[in-house]
Amino acid sequence: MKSYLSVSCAVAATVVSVGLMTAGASAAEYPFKPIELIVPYAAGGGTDLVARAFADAAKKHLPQSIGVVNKTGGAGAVGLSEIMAARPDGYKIGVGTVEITMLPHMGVARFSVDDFTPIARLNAEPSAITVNADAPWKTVEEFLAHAKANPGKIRIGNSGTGAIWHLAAEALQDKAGVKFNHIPYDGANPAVTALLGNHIEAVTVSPAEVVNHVSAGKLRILAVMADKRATNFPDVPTLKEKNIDLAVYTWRGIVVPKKTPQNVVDTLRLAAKNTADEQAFRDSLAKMNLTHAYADGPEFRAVMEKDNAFFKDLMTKLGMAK
Amino acid sequence: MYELDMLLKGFQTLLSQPFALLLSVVGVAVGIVIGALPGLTATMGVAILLPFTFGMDPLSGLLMICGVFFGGIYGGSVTAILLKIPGTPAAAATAMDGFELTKKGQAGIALGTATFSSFLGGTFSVLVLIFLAPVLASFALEFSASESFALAVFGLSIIASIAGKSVIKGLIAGFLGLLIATIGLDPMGGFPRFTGGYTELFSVPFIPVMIGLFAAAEAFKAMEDPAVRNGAAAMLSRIIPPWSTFRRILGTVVRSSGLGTVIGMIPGAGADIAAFVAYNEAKRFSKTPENYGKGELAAVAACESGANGCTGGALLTMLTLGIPGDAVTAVMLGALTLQGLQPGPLLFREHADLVFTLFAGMLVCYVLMLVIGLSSLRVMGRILQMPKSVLTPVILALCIVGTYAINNSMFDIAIMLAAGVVGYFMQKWDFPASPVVLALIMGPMAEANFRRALSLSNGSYDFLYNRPITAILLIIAGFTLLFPLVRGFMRRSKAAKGATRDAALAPNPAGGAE
Amino acid sequence: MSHSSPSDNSPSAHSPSNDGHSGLSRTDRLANLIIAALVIAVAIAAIVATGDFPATSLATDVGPARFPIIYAVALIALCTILIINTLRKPVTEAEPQDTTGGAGRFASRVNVAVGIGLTAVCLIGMTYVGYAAATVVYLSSVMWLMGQRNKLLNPLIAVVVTAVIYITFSTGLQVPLPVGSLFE
Repeated sequence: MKSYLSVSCAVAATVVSVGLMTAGASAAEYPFKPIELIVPYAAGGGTDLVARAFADAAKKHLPQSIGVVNKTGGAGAVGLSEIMAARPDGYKIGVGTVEITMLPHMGVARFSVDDFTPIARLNAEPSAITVNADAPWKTVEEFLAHAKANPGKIRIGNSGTGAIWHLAAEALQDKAGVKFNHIPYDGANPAVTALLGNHIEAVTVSPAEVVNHVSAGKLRILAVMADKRATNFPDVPTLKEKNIDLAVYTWRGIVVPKKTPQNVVDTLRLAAKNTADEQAFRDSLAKMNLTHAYADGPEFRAVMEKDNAFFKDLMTKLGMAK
Repeated sequence: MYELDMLLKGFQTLLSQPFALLLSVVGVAVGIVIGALPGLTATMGVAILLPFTFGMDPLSGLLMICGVFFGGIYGGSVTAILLKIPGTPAAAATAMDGFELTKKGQAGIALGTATFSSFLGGTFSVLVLIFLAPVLASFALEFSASESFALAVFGLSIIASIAGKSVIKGLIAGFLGLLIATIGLDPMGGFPRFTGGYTELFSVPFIPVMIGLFAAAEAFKAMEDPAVRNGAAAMLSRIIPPWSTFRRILGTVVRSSGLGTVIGMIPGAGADIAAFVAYNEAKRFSKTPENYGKGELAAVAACESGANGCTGGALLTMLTLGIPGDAVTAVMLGALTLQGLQPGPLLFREHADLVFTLFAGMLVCYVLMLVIGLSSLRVMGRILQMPKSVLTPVILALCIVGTYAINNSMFDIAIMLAAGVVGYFMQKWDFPASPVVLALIMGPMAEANFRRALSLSNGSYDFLYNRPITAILLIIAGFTLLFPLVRGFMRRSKAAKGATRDAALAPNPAGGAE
Repeated sequence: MSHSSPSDNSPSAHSPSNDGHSGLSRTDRLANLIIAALVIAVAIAAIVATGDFPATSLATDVGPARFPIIYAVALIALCTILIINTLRKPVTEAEPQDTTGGAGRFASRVNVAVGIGLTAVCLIGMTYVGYAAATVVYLSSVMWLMGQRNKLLNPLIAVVVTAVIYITFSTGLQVPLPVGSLFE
């Protein structure tokens, strides 16, 4: 039924565009003008860099160029709302992040996960429990044992209340039966800075955000909340190996508004697949210490829906859901 | 001396790389333009040019970004002085006295002083970066939430000294700014405060408010007076300040450069804070503090050397620790990582050649900034010869497009316009605009860090007095707040007896330019 | 250089207040009182609005309402001081210059109001007809408002300025300017 709906939408869109464009460009010729890629975060950040690397590498696989536009604010809510509300013609697409599955439950967003059609996931990063190199804990067991013995004494820095790394720490607290003191910072970087200065005991940000300090010997990763070990850190165990069933990822991918016609979605899916396979794109991600995690539309949708249920459940438990 | 040898070697390497030098020129020039345009900040300039550096060698790419950074911080001063459009938040401090100087017909000398001070402040900070980086590296880590809170309180106490004619009105403006600064997501809990359901208001639209209060308000004011509508605005006289004048402000420049460098090293504090703090300290040490706010050359020098002093400090923290001190260096951190360079202590060991060539390039960038700045000032000064009837609409159009460019948002333009209307009335009745801007910079920093510090200490208020840096900053803040009040009372009792001696009302000495 | 300092030689409403603290004109007195009352109203509204703010989940946090309330209370106190100060100052009679300039002052107020209105119209227009068209019209009409009444030169300057801004931002800085919903 869904495909029937999108076909009829495609027909409607075609009729409208034929009516409007005297040139008579049909949706089949998509794209005939440059595409805008909305990034819901500031220029220069991780999400922005992934988007720009993608736009750059996509040149070979699309007849038109992709221009990156940053729409910041509201922890991503402003940009994601803009993507949701865009005309579903494939000329305004966006970078969707894990916040799509989190913000709707907090009552701060007008969209829900169903308002987007996923094109492709490009990158995914797990949460990593990281402590200062001077800290007494060498393993995650020691760390959790200490936390259990001293409830509320371990201060965990995160990138903002309700943000992904805060929820990762909350989920760990829930699964491991411990109590942390959560300290929100204005982004992951300030939290890492506080950890370097020994003002807090741990952070739960991604490995990419601490890798410099880990290789400089200032910080130590105890475990990653992932399904399998990270390629950059083969010695760091996952929580699953330690019998804590928890995997929390942030991810970034290309999404379009729900009603985008199927042929546009297909064109974009193919282009995204080829772009993601591009060596230049892989190299850019590797330079940023980011993990290449391509997933095609349907698989990406499954991830989104799984996370949506997970965060809804967790936030309800925490009393953050509205 | 190891550093000096390496630096000289760096200069040699640099000379063999004309492409990198060319890109530095491009970077500085682009930076100045971006800094001068309202709304576009150095952060945005760096982010825009970042994709272009992907394909370059590390040295060229990084030098271009440094050029944009340095030029962007300086460029804001040009329009701030000439037109009272602070291109960047740091330039809001420069605009206070800079535009008064323009009104007095001394735009040229104000611009020249700003350029020299930016150059000296920036060069000083880069030299600190080169020679003292290892010594100062861990300073930034001393700064936890409580220290940042104390720094913000110190910053807020400056409101008392930039209040203008009436301290009460200045404080009202400041507290109104603080209240406005609480609009948006609550820094600890993420609860949207006073947003009326608009996601656009989740973070305070700080730059639109600043552009509105300063530039748009000034433009609206220009519409009211039929007498100035047709005339040319002003002329640029001499640009390079005479040595006697410059010698007088040299102490201020040195002090401000040092302050700027230290503030630049602190994570979360940038050029905007440095400019205001430098202004305040210049006024505190000045023999004629009553001239501040009425067109004091030393004030312009202080703000600009403070703001550019920040650049080296911020780079120091970023390069030695891998911690970005402000928004610009956060983007630069991304640029470095993309070039395959991991900032941190290892960078200096593993890539010493590149690092010192980069340092040499930074010094070159500042010289380029001085040259490009001074040689373009005459051209920029021509802006003032445009009739006001053309200049004013152009300023407004720039305010609109610049505000839009921050977030590609029409909502921000509406905020800018509203702030412009409010600013127009504030100016009419002597409510100063700069305390509002200062409060918008410091307010969120104060609140977030106070509450964070409280959580870090598990609810105990001990952090206010048992951490030395915090306690010292809070004591200085107290003095700063009380000093002008006391002086104000003293002067008021004196003024009540006799006639007021008011520098701003003195007849304009530079008459008859037409 | 007489035009260089608009605030110095313009007979604007606030100039009498520059004469020190001896007294206030009737307009300034009224303005102070109105502004103080407005700010107090804003502060009270803010305090009322904080009533619905929930506590944060963090045990040791003071909550989102604490700081706005502190600021608002400080504002109310400061505005009360301003009101008392204003009422205590003697009222000086308006200077003769002001009474004769009454018509001119009215005209200047109309000018400013029209200018602000035009900016608002430009904003709204931009969403429909796009950045370029709205800006050209806006620039020429503000120039006209400010006394430059050339029917040929105004649009010409406007087009050139708009083109320069458009190219700088759209091409140079890659900021996509609004195209307008009518042309999208």
